[in-house]
Parts: sequence; structure tokens; C-alpha cells
Amino acid sequence: MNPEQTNQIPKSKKTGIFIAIGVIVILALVVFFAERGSSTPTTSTENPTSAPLESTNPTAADNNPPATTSEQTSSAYKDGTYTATGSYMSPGGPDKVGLSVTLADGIITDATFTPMPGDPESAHYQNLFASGCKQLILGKNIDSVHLTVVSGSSLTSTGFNDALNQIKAQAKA
Amino acid sequence: MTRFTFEAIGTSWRIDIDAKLSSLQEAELLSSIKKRIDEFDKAYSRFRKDSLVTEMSQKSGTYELPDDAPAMLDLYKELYDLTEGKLTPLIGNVISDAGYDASYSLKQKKELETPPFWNEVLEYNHPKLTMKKPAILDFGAAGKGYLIDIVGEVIESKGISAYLIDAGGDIRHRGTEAIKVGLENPDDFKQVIGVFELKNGSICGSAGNRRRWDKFTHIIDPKTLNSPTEIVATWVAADSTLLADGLATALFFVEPEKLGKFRFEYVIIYSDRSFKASDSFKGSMFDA
Repeated sequence: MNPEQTNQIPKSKKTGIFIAIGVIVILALVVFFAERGSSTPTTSTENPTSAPLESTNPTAADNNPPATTSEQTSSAYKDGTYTATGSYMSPGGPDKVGLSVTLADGIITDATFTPMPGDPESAHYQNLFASGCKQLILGKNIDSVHLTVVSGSSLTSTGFNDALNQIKAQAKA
Repeated sequence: MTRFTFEAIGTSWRIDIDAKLSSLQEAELLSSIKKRIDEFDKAYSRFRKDSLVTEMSQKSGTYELPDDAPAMLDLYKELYDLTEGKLTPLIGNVISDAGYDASYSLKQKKELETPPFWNEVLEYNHPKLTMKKPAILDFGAAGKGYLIDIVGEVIESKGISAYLIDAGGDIRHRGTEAIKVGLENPDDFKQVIGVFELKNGSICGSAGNRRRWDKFTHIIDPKTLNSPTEIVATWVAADSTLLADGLATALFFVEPEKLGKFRFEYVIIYSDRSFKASDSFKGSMFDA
């Protein structure tokens, strides 16, 4: 994992806020176009990101074709992966961020935030935001990792577990 | 190397000791450990009919607490204040009424009632604890961690400096060689989501996934009278198991920043399976 990971956007630095605004705008755009896509039932090749972005800063969207598209569902949004690039003005000059969102049944099932920093300071904040954007737990089989001990939900209460097993058995009967 | 495995206070214990002990020494040590555990249990367990805590739940009055009480009671009071009353030993009646009672009925007995404030019931001036009215005290949040520390003291009193105590996933380590502690995946017990290197310290985890009945876990928010659902698991590493255990529960109620007066490392797993970790834990989580 990136050692700089955190879910917190640095509040004292404007850059972080600009990025956040940029991302929110992109996300809104992606969802907007996903919705628009659903009104054209049989086509799914329409580029969902071709409009200029409005933001507190001069912004423009790059055109990126959707990476994947899938069949129609009953949801208001069309399934698929949508990609967008947002621009924003940081104290160090214009900067860009990329965002890719996968929708299934109107739910965002995956999101990738791609930092495209113009200078090292922006790189730092963009990476911070990227890690906060999505940072999920991943498991490995216990057998594949050499361990001394495992720490988890406490197994306190043999009595508790016994009782629970009895209840389960009763519920089945 | 010596290894003890046994069951006590409803959980399985494993103690590894690096030093070479004679079988007589082993037998003596194990017997003093078990005796000490029983002593602790007899004071603080709400699951025992003959415990001090059970007596306190039946009649008000002034009680004399054992010598080991201050460290645990003081931490409980500190965490009570820092969590604005959410982490409280007075949750006992609530948990018990919810079904996690001495007979493990796991059936909610009645409508849950908001527990009283600390000062309404408790007045503590060691060794005297006055119960202004009877109440079930629950030391589940930090009691096991504290008992692990106490067992560590028993071991150290025999001149042993390198050992490992694992009581149902709460761990205390002493020694110069780090051990690898797997962090159990709350969704799959056959998996770990990271490996924490522990040396000369303690790690405790808290999660609602195993002890769960009806809509409750072992943690109940006294304000909402529900179990917190935003967080599925926490781990805390600290110098003492008492502190690690208490903070692992406190994190279900407050942001880690609120607990800044303590020195600890943490990881919090949220219900969407994202996580937030302090520096030491960040490096321990598996990479995507």
C-alpha cells in the first residue's frame, strides 16, 4: 500500500479542496451522462464525457470513450464504465485529474481516480485524494502467509458460541 | 520452549514462553496463572453468580475493590469522558437485557433502557466503589485486555522476559524478536487482510462478526440502544493490552483523533470495506 494513505483531505490546503470540487463535478457529469445514455435504449457507444465542465475554476473535459459497456437494466443509469478527465486551477497552475466509474444497476461498483499532477505539490495532494477515494480491504488465505498468531473478532465466550449453535439448530428444526 | 493452551473466561488461551522451563516450573507457573485468572474473574465477571460484580448488580452500597482495580477503572472513566458516555461499564443491564446475559439466552428480554450516567451510579475512590443503586457492570470492553496484562505480570514475576499471550485474538508480546500477527478478514475467517509486526507491545481487535445475535453485537451504543453498524472491525496496538482493548472498542464510538492523548496505532474497517489506518498499520495492510 501507498505509505501516504489517508482518507482525509487536507483541510488547510486549498489544492485538496479544488481537487475535491473537480472530482465531484466529474462524478456529477459521469452520472448525468450515464442517465442520458439510458434514454437511448439500444446504443451504448455514446461517449459519456464530451461536455465542458463548469466549476469554480476554468475547466474542460477531455474526451475519453467508455472503457466497457454492458446491457440495459431497469436502472435509470446505463451499466458500464465511464471515464472522465477534469481540470482545475491549483496554486501551482492548471492541473488535471482522471476518474473512471463503473455503474451497475445505477450503483457505482468501482471507481478509479487517476492523479495527473502538473507539479510535485499537486502530485502529493492528488495522491492523498486518490488513496482516500478508494482504499478497500483485501484478503489473503491464512495458509499463504506465515503467521505467529491471528488477531480478530474476539472469540470470547465459548458459552456464547454454544448458545448460538443451539439456536441455529433449533431454527432449522 | 513452553506452550500452554487452556480455556478460561470463555475463551481459548495460548501462552508461548521462549525460556526453557523444567516440568515442575511449568506446572507451577500454569497453576499460578490459572489461579490469578480465576481471582480476576471472581471480581469482575457478570457471568458468575459468585462474583463481586454480580453482588453489585443486586444491592447498592460501598464495596472494596481488589488491588488491581485502579488501572482498569481509571481507563474506563477516561474513555467514558472521551466518548461522551458511549463507552461505559453501565452498559451491563442493556447488554444483558438484549440477550447477552449470564445464561447466554441470546433473546431480548425487554425493551432496552438508556443506561444511567456514571455519576448517577458510581463513586470511585480506590479501594472503595460506591454503588448508589444496583447496576450490572460490564467490563467487556477492556477487561480481557487487562487480564492478559495481569497474566503477563505473573509470567514476568518468574523472571521470564520473552513470551506471547494470545487470548482469543487479543495478544500481548514481550521480547526482542517481533512476531507476525495476521489481521483476520471480518468477512472470511480463513483470510487475513494484513500482517502486523508486533514487538514488546499488545494488539487487540474488536469486531461484531462472531458474537452476533438478533440485531446486536457485543457493542451497544447507550444513546441509540443499537449496535454500531458503520464500523465492522477495529484493531489497536499499544504498550498495554488494557489500553489496546479499551481503545479498540472506543473507536466504534469516536474518531481516533479524539483519543489523541493515548499513544496507539489503529486500523478501522468500515462497513463499505474501506479502511482508515495509522502509519504502522498502513504498512501492514495488503497491497492492491
